[in-house]
Amino acid sequence: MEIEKVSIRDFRNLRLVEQDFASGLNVIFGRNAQGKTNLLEALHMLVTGRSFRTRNEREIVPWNASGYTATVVRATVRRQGGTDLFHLAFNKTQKFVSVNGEALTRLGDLVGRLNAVLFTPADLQLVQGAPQQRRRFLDICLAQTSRLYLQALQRFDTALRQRNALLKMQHQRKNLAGEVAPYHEELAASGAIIMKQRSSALGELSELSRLYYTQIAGNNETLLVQYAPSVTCESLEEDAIRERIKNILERTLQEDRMRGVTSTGPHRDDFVFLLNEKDARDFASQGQQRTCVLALKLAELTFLAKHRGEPPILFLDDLLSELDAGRRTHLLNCLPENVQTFVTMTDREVISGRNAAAIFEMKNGDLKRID
Amino acid sequence: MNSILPQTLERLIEELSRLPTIGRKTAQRLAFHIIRHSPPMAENLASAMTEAGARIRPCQQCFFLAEDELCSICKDQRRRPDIVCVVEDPFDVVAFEKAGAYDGLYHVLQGRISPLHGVMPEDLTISSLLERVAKAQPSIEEVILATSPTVDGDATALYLAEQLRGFRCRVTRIGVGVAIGSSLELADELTLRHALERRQDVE
Repeated sequence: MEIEKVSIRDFRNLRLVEQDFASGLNVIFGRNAQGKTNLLEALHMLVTGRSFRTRNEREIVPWNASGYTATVVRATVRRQGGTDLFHLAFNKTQKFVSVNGEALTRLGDLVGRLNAVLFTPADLQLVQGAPQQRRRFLDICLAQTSRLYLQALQRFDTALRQRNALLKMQHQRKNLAGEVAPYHEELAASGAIIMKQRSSALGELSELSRLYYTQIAGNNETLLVQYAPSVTCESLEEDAIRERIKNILERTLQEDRMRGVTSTGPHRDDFVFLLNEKDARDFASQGQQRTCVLALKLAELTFLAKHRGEPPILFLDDLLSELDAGRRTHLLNCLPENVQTFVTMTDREVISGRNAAAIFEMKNGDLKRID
Repeated sequence: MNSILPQTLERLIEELSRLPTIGRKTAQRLAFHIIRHSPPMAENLASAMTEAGARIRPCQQCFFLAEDELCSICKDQRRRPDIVCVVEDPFDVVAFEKAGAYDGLYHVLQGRISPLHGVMPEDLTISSLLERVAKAQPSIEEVILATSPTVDGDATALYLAEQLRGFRCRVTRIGVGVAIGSSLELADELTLRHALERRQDVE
């Protein structure tokens, strides 16, 4: 799939960007703080409806600029079998999303329409970073391929917040066990869907990552990406997982009452990178860890392409300058030709050796095609 | 901010803008409209609002909207008293009535359980429902749980089902599945799963 054309108005420092993009590699270069990442942020908002940089969207909105009414991102996206017109408009208080003129009542309905893989310098911490970061990676990847996963995730999240709210008021509640029971049912039902899909997706991602790792590292190290669920279950059957989660929630209720939070469940899941069967977090060098992440990101790209039936769009934000020449070349060489890629960089030289389909310069919020 | 509008009009605009989905601009338009046709329109509107505000109260039996002790549905002798449909809001009663396929009674919970928003079982009309089921003459044979199929609606239904366990009556949950007239292609995955899991024999 491909972004053909975009129109962005009043998005951070971008007052008005109207631009056609090319198939293949689109290079956006410019000095620091000119708006390169803002452009990727705006485009990527069409994937999830939310910003990948901030939870507080008021930051994005230049609400005190003169004549400001709304921040608007429009894009024409060509996909297999048609063209989609995305329209996202928001300001300090409201948000409106439509695809092909049809308004979406829930933001979740947007997810999966535009598929993309985002790779930023922060992702290089994926091996070392907090479990939350790895869960987020999995969730965004899986939500794009499975609506059921996204629905389960949303229902799980609501039920979890209700359970935690109950735990916090436990002193006033005489029948806490009875009141919490309905949420255990929901957490178990949605949780089982989530765990089953995470488990099978990680199996696929692990296999793909192993291949990419060998290709990039060029040695005989073996990478394994392994699911580390909070609730372990012998069986892979959804019903069995559901019963298991329910049991654990009932068993940990006493303990959770004291803490006021739910201590076990898919919301505490994680996965680990094993390099030659050793945990890469403790045993791998900085360089090896980066290669692990690179391999996983390329695996995500292939995973999305396979499950969506067409390649996603790839966003590489300021990443190439963070990688050494060897890994950079490998990354660029591993990119399938048919993937539309957006790369931001401060130094044009970095990209030499690979033909860019189009080169743009970002200067003080203005985007201009220069080649 | 000093308004150039007369104070009485300003007050009307302010009161109108307290209504849901009404912003300052809409409130202003409505207010102008009301005074332009004055006095009959303003007076009619005012008396309608005062009367509704003073006389509408929850039905003593089912908590639907009523002017007397009982609502029009509870008073209706033709309806079956042995079956009760539990809903969240009065709007749900209106929706069921529009469908016209139900001839039993209702019980309006006046919301759904949501600890996050501080809505606990005792904030709803649950104890009245249990009392009603316990004491009803003739007895209630079936309670239909018709809360919405959201996380909160489902949790409320499950809680009610547990509370109703001690009674002799049958407890059912409304069906969840594919919307009639829509194509399967458009149904979301969770709905399809439910529809499949709860499939029925064709008679």
